[in-house]
Amino acid sequence: MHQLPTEQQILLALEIGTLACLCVRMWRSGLHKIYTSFFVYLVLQFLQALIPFCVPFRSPLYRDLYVLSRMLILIFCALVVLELYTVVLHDLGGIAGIARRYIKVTLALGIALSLLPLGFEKAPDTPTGYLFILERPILSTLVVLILLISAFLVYYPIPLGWNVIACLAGYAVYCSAVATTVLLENMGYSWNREASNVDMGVCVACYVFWLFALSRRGEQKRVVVGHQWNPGDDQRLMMQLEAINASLLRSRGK
Amino acid sequence: MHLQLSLSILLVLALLAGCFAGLFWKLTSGFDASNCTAEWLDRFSLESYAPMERLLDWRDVDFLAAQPGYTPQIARRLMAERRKVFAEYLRNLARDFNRLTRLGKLMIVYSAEDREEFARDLLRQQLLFYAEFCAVRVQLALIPLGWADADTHALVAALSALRDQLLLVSTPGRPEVSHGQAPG
Repeated sequence: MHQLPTEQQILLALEIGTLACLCVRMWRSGLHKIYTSFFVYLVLQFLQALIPFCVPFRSPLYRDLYVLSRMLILIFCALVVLELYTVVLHDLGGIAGIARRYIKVTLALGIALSLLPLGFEKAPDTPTGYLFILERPILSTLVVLILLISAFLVYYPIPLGWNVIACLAGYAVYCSAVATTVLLENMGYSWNREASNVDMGVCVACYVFWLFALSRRGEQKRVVVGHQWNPGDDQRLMMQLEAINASLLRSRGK
Repeated sequence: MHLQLSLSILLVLALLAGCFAGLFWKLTSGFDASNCTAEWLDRFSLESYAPMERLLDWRDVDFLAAQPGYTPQIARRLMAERRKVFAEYLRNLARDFNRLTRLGKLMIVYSAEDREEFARDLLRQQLLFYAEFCAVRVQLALIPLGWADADTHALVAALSALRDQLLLVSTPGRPEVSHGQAPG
């Protein structure tokens, strides 16, 4: 711990403190049962933050533990996004099909976009190098996924609780920041200390945000309308829409 | 190279931040479901857009031209005002269309059955409408320059045909058009 730069010691202490408070808050409010992957992710972050207290900072053991814990955190990072999507779409049979198709497309698009910068990244030659080469595309994919999932949630009037919005917002900031710093590392810029500072700073900011934003009350969904549509309503609506479009189409002489 | 890279990354991050900010603002502001009811759908009719048929009719100008004291300025002023009114009608048409699509989205989300096909049809109609609406607005803007004169009549005629089609739809005994899965 004493081998870390001063600012990182402060950030680490803040990180541990906020994480501990956040985990306790989630446990006491029962949110750990709803957002299980997110809770496990927070616990893993907490345990990773304790590593510098137990292991010498520049030792091979520290490096190995850091790589292993970061891989685990990465896996749960991805699981959290899928968990949020599942929580949101639970019991919404009407959009099940379109949602499934949409997530396949967004996943493919996210992976394709995240692989684009690979050409600029240097070949790894250390365990942490391999970790970062793997981490950056995964985090970039998650950023794209969160962006497109949010667009889907805006397009359809899906009832959302404030907790889901807060999780998505925090994750967007976290994944974007870490993906950027890792990209710079992979491109050969030796900004280890600055990159670590940014990572830790963003993490602390996200934990503080979640600490204040997440609550049991945030699970209440804003239901737009609870209405049983009569049979034929959707057919009437589609005929109205097609009539309007046919008119505009004819106006252009097509 | 450093500067170029930093600027590129900053630009991407700024774009991302802008997109996320917009999306989360929309998520927190909720969905406007005002007037999105089945009763509104039943009452909705394109009859209110019938006046559009005559708004850009040049026969009125031909009639004025035959009157004593006519000047071309009178015709220009008249058509300019009518174009403004026509544009207002188009805006209302877009408002009603958007209301219909909001209604469709509510039907999809709150349906007990999967409405994938209906959702696809709805998206297709939306894209088509927005494309055509833009085209019509461009045509309307080009009328004063004399570049889109003939299409104005086609536009008005199309709206008239739309009204006739809706009148046909409301007539008993018409064949039902099937869209997507069976409702309910």
